[in-house]
Amino acid sequence: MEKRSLSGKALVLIISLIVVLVGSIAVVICIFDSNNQKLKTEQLGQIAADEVDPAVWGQYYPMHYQSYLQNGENTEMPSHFETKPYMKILYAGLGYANEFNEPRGHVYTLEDIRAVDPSRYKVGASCNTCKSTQIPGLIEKYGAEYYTSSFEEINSQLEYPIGCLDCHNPETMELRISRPALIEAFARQGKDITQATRQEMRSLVCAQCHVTYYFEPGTKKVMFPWDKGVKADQILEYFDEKNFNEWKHPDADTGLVKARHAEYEVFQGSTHESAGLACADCHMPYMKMGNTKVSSHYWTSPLKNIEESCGVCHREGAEWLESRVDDIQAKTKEIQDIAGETMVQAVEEIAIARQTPGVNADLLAQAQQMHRDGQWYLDYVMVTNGYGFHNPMESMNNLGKAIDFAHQAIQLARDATGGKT
Amino acid sequence: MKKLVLIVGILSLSFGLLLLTKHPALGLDGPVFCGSCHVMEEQVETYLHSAHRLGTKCGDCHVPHSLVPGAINKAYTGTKDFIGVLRDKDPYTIEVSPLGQDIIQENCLRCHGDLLHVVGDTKRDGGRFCFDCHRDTPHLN
Repeated sequence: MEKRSLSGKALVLIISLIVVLVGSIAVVICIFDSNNQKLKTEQLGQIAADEVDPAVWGQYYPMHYQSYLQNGENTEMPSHFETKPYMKILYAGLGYANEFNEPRGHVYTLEDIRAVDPSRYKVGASCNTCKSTQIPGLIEKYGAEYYTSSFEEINSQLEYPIGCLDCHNPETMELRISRPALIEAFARQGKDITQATRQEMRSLVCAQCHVTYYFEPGTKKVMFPWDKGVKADQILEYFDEKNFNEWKHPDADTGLVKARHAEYEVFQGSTHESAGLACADCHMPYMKMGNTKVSSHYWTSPLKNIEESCGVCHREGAEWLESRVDDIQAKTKEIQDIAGETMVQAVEEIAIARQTPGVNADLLAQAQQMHRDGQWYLDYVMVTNGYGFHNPMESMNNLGKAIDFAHQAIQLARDATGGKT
Repeated sequence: MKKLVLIVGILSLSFGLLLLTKHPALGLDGPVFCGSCHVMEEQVETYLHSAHRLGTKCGDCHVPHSLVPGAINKAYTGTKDFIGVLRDKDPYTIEVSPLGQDIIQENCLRCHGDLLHVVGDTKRDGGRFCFDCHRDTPHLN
């Protein structure tokens, strides 16, 4: 009995000791945490959750805003047709064939879209989706009706171009996804975009717009054709399965699909992406501003800041690096030109075959199928910024396929006429 | 009873020692843990913009590589920084200590030794630290 009561005392002692210990640890942690909170980088104030005006954000983040305003320096907007005359013929039947200029960048989105050839407005309000910080608010306001509105109905309400709110949460400054199309495309692939890491987000905020898309027939919703994957062959398979044509080429009568600036898609699996890089690593380098460094918000070619963009990893010097990029881009352009011109020939041959009496309809249809596939592969490279640099090997691969499809189309179209021309 | 105390004691000690290692699964050696002290925000941010983020964690440069000196150093600096914040006496301008400089130098050579086999330790014979010239690696100051 005596032994048992002793051990009971010891137990009480041990329990009290543990309580005291846990208590003191809790107090220490609380003090630590409260001191630690004071060390947070100070925020000057709270930006409203729906603040669409970049200038208001600029009052809190003047250096970031200053670099954002640098986007205004990007004033050139040459016509694509000057360097790629084949585009005009390949896009016949689309508004793009009337006018297709290189845009001037993020701060000019509204000015530039208001200046394009009016034939391109007939698609409707969806064209505004990547032109203003106000769009997520308008999509919330109108719901599905946003997409079916006319171009003017939405455009007339827009005041601010692409800006801070498109990519940042005003409360925490963390990156955020504001465009529904990307969230939905991830969901359809069974992926939850809210689980993306910081490094993935540094590409995904760009992927809200720098991707290929189409407008869903009927709803006119902006859709990313990624259900089978983001690569050229996977997207084409997706369109084929849906039996989707964006337009018919007036000369070749081929049902075609249109690629758009697929920078994000092309970048996936590239050397730089495989090494763990994101869009922001090259396009938003850390730049010295005054006595500190900020991520540049001047979105442009990294070639304009080779030291800061490439120099973080590559120590070979700006001149050598630029010569490497020039070499890749020049070689891609050379093959792209060949693909473009061969595709134009395919269109011409198919047009001739169509006008030939007694043409073999089966062979003609096969030729048109080759034209559809080939033009898609070409377009996926051709309208993607960077002349192949985002993924040189894949771009050359797609151009190679495009050339082969074009030659097959030419041969099939000639065979279809049975030598009657 | 004694047995219980002994087992609990051994378990706590092993757990404590485990925390001192640089085992990746613990996550006590990388930017998330080190950056949880908000005073380190700038260091974490600059590191995340550097090429070193692709292959190293904070501890790979700032903690000695071998287990025993590494664990002792980690325990010492970790406790020092913890008490610093606890007493609200933390440094707002973070600079590497003389001991820290030697540790970094050793770690530069640990990974980049192959490249430097001709030159050897840049610090030898009154030489300079690697980072005296490579000021921007990796914190871009």
